[in-house]
Amino acid sequence: MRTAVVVFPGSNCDRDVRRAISETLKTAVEMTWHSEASFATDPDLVVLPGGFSYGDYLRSGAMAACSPIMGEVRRHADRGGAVLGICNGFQVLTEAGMLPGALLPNISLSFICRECYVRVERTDNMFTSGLKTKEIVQFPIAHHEGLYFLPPKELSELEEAGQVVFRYADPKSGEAGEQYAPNGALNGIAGICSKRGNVLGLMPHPERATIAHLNGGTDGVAFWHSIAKVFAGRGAF
Amino acid sequence: MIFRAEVIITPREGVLDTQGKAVEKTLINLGYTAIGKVRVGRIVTMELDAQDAGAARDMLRAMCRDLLVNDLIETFKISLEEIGK
Repeated sequence: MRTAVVVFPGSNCDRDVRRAISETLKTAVEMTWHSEASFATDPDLVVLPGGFSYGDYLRSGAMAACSPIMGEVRRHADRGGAVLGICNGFQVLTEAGMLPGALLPNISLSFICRECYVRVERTDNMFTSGLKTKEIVQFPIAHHEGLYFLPPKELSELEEAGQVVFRYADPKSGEAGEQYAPNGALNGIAGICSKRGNVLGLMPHPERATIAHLNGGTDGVAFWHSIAKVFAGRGAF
Repeated sequence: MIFRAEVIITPREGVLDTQGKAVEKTLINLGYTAIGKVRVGRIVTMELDAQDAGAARDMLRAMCRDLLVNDLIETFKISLEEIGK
């Protein structure tokens, strides 16, 4: 699998993503500065990492969504290429109109940084086909604007279209929903994909769940392998 | 003509405004019990050069669409003041 990670001014999980992918999948990862008009290579997966692009000024992700590289990210997605937005990257994808909805300030108005459990709701997309439906995975969260919002009608349409991929859950009972969302996300939504299943945005950080001794668990390993499986025939750079 | 513009951006009706709710609760705790529906938004001010007020408004509306406002969760009002030729 060939991966490109976009770096915006204020991104701070870009190198974590590179490390997680390169160590888990033993592959090189291209880092692309946001002001580039195109990628140096021909990536299978484009990752918009977490962080505080443009200091979260105006609205989280709003200015990064206007970056020159986003034109190429959009073309990549339109061609059916895989685009993954993590945390601030998810906010960028919604601001760019590549995923529906918006991420509002957490209901507690606090920045939340902690371990977190999400339930895999769908596996019929380019990202979670190697995981199991209803499987609970532990990915940490760290955000201030993570309350997923969509007006009621659009929210039902999103649910009916099966675009909810991850939902905050209770690891003991296996139940998922709004009551388990630390940020107040509607319907407990932690991650959604596009109708075609090739664009995924999620608030939790799978790249922070690949090293056992860091207490974030290692469930991220299966997630990265799941994506890589889709592009198994492509090889590395 | 030179204009000074103010774009007032507020959360849409029906969109959870946790900041507004927190401010409302604090004001009520301070004894301002006659208040309700507090919303917190932002104001963007700028100066701009346009042929007339109509052209200035068109330009500002385009800026709102392209960057300043997220139409899904926010609404906006524009106010204009002519400050020079």
